[in-house]
Amino acid sequence: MREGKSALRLHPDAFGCGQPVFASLLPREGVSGSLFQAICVQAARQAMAEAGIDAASPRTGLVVCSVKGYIEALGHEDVTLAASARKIADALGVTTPPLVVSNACISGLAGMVEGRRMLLAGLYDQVVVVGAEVQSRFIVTGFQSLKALSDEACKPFDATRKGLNLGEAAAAVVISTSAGDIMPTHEQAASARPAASENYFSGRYPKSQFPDAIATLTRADAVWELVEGVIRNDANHISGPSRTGEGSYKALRYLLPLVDKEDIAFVSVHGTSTLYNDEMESIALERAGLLDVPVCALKGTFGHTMGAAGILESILSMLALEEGVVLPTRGFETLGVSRPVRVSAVEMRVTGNAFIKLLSGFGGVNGALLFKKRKAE
Amino acid sequence: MENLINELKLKVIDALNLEGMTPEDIENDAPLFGDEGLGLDSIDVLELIVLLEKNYGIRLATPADGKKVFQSVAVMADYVAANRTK
Amino acid sequence: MRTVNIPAGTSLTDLYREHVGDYPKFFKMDTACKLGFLAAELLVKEDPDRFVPREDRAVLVFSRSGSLADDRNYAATMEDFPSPALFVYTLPNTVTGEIAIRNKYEGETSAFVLERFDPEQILDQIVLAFQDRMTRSVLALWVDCPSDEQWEARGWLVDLQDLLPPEEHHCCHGQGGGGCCGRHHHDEGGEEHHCCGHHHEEGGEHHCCHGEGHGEGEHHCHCKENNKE
Repeated sequence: MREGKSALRLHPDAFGCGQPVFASLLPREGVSGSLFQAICVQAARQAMAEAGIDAASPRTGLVVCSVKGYIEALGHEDVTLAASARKIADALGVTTPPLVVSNACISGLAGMVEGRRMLLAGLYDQVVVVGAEVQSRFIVTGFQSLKALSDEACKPFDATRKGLNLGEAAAAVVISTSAGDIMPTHEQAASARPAASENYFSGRYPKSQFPDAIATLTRADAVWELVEGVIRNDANHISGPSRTGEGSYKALRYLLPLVDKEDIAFVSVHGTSTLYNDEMESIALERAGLLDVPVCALKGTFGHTMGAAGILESILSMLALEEGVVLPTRGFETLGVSRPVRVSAVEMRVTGNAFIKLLSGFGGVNGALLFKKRKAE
Repeated sequence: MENLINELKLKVIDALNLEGMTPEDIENDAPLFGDEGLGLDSIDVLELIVLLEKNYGIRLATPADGKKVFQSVAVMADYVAANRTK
Repeated sequence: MRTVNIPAGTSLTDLYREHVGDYPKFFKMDTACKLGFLAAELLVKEDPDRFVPREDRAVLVFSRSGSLADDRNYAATMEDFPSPALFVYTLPNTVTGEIAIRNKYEGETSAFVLERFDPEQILDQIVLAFQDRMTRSVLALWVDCPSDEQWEARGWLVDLQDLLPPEEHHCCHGQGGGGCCGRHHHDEGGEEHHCCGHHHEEGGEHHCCHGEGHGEGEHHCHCKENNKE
């Protein structure tokens, strides 16, 4: 991505939809059965191995995030996300009941919101959150009927943008509980947990068990805290975004008291490259007082990965901030929204230890996550 | 033309799930969109675009074209009469 | 807590005409949305200030089937003339959007898929939703609609107060268990009592609720002794 590469291609007749489709698609050679289930398992397994967690532990939770899952088998197999989640859980060796989050295009983000809450409530000590989307005739024809697709590489926030590109991906994180004031190695986190019998949660109490508990994601060189996550509905229209950016603004507003503005290195936005979405986000950013914060939109590199987007784009944002940069918004040339958003076609150095991930979806949903990098030892 | 107008009204009512409406409830020149009209929205425009293609073989490229053609049933009828391929 | 159930076989059009009647967008919805919409209507129709925008109510929908019924309906149009109106409903969360639009709920909306109707898992998620610091009530629905003719549709409206353990609040007269909620008044010996909603010990310090969210003179601390105002 830093070299400017893109996974988007023109596919002359993807899925037999009759028109060329500009998208980022995964290879399908040698795949039998559900590609969706396979990439969920692959991504989750890798994350779990890197985190060194016990899949079968009753303290391990699983959240699966997707919009349409295995929909291409409609009419032939059980395509419910429930059936897919069961297969994924079994393949991973997870023994707790999986939760599927299917909240339109914010599903991956919403899954992380749920994972964090489960940890702070003491329901689990670690949660695997995996989000994935696979394209199909179903989805492509649907977006075509909405006239939402561009037949060229998409251009977030650009004056000549004309629609989105679809993408495929799977992304997974392991979020764990750590006590708030110490460097959260696994051993230290383990000693901070109470015995299972004292599970506060059995009292159905809507508060965290540990006043100081935080949700963390541990990487090789850094530990990230998922400080907070929020979802807000526009209450306006079931597919078009609110013209005043109502839900996105409210989601941002919810997070702002939790961070110093100077510490926000960038906002990773939804940036689908539709006329309405990008304009709406620029209004929401203005209303939240964030116009002077750098912004990046990543869908110009791998398209709209729907259920994976919230997780994929958060991971890439963490990697970027570990390098002290905001990633380029590929496809952007000339500002085409009514507010002066700080979007850049090239990578820029940034300061600050925090970033916000912002997304929107059908059904009027908008979500935002606040991540902070903790000091590495 | 009368037949086409009536036919269009029936198809619009069906395509847009306008429950309980009859052709008599839709005036030929009444605006279809906006608060003064039937209050149709952006999804309805897209459905009407499909209606034109499915029934009359007319392809509109963008929703913006749609808004011009769907101003009223009368405008729609004129457009269909002039451009139908079925 | 309020609950509602819409049995399979109910005429949704009749239910709509009886309880709503003034929302023609109802007829554009797919079956799952109609069910969720009607269940929500039944749960909230008596709410005061019903259509005033609010950010403190979350809407959660649970199912096993997701949007399966509408997925099939859309797929049937996919071969020649894909229908945008059907496509926008091929999402489990659209029903939460419709409820939010109707009631101006600008708070959290979420959609989950479970392997089965699991009350424990549903209750867990409802309780987790209260971690949003603004959420004071949750409208939760189980709407499982594998086809347009078969469904299960239930709903619950849960207030934050419903979840607080009873031991923390006491009626001054020691009537615990279900105790004082700060909202409802209850009888004791024929006399109407209103609890202030604040934690206080019997025989110990008591605080009148005057000014704390109740109208002065309208609510009284139970105990006349040790009465602090």
